[in-house]
Amino acid sequence: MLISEFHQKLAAIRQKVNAQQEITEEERKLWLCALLLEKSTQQERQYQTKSA
Amino acid sequence: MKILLILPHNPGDVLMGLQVAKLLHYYPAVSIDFIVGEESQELVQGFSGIQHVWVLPRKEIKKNAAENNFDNAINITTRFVDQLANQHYDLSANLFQETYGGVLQSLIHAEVKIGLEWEDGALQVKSRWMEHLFAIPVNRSQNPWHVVDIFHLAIKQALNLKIQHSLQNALHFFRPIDYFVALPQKPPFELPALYTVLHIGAAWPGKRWPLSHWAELTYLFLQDQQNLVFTGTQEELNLFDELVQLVQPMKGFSFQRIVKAIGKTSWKESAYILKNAQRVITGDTAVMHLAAAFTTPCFCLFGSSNPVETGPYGEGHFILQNNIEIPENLPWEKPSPDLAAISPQVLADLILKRRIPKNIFYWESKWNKENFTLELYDAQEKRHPFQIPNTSFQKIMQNQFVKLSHASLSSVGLANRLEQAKPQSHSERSHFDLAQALLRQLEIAIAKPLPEVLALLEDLEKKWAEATYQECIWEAYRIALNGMPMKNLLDYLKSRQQRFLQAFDEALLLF
Repeated sequence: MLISEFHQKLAAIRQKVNAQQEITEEERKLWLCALLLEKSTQQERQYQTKSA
Repeated sequence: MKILLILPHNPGDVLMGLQVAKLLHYYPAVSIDFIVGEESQELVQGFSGIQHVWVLPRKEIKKNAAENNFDNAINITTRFVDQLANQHYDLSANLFQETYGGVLQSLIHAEVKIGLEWEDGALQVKSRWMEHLFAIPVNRSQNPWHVVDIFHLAIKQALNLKIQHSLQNALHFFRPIDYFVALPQKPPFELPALYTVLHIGAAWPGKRWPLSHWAELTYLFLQDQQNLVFTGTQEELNLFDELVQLVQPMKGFSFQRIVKAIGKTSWKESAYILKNAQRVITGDTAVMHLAAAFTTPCFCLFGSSNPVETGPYGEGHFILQNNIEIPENLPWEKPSPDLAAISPQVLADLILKRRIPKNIFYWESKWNKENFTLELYDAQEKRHPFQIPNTSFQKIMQNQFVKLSHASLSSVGLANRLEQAKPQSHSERSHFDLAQALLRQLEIAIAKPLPEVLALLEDLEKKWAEATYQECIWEAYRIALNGMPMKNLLDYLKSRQQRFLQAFDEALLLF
């Protein structure tokens, strides 16, 4: 899979996530993979601990 | 009972997770698995109370992605998840607060799940205790519990575990050391028979005591003929060199009583050094949590972090703090003026002359043997202010949650309680009027979920939150709302009403 295809799949998943739609197990695995690739920061943790 | 703990985070947090694992071993027939990141793997594998350690292969996933091999990156993730999915747990407790922990939790099979989880199209925080954990930043002074205690209480509530006699007895001679038997490993250099550990670095600037202070403390200890062992990572070697430059010109300085262990030890070797030390002097660091795990007395310097939440876990540790009011965003990125305000002379006098510090906050950690939670006391045996105001809050969380899970709340029941309460003062009456207006608005919103009705409801909720000044309760309520699926508006509003009544009841009992 090329990086463009990975991002394309991820964009489709994020669209569903933002629309509060359920996503399949396979999609959740890809999403997890993408989240693990992101840089973990203190800011991200603070965002998580505060409600939007 | 098979429990999974999820905490693929930094070593300090993982060590707190291991304290929870240790506490859980006082309940009968508990078997614990732990999901950890590569950076903390060595610590968890050295803890004999864990059945299986699942190491999240993040480095391998990142390496493959960096080489544009996304198929492999996904395959590695899938393989890890599939291995986990073959397990069946009675409880999966996600103690981690980042999004990926919630996605991972959604892929695990367990009877009961607590903590962040992606479900029904939303990230939900399962467990009222875990909601409280997420709500703490909104007002740190309204949280009386250590994070380890919140984890423990959340798990206990989820599994409906009762306090065991063995736990009650265990706290009198609390020995987490028994669970770390596999961890310590003698380093390949000599250590004095008696020594103090000085851990001069910290991951964040806001947790680092100024180097000039460490230099002065070093000098004061050497003058008292104390042996010193300096610990830290390879990246912190330069800190030691700078410290030596500051101490060397001082009269009578010699290296004779100094052991430089910085940059020379693994976690296992650090554990050996900390376990055998007379005491450890440190900021809010992973080394502090590791020393506390071995019940070695810690003398901790706290600046922009909160010892009530994340201090050394266990009895007999000491904390110095210039200011207890911690900003909600924990500004660890910049040096803390409050840390700099703690004088080396005061610390040296405390340790070497047992002189209690004045004009600065000084705490000693002790067990509350009734509630099985950790508390901080000053030299006059007064509790930390965050832990004083509402012992009732503790009771509400512990008793009320049980009640809430068994009895259904109703707005009618709450309205009756409001009437029975007979408000006395004008301010009480206005609060009660506001509460009744809110209850009416909730009923209207369910009957007519129109935007203007919902806007008025939110406005009233905000006013009530401000009036009761229970920010953690209201933040937890908003966190719960964020996780509620909105696909069906009526279902959403009914769930919202139930959760609102719970928050309302909690705040009312404290009012």
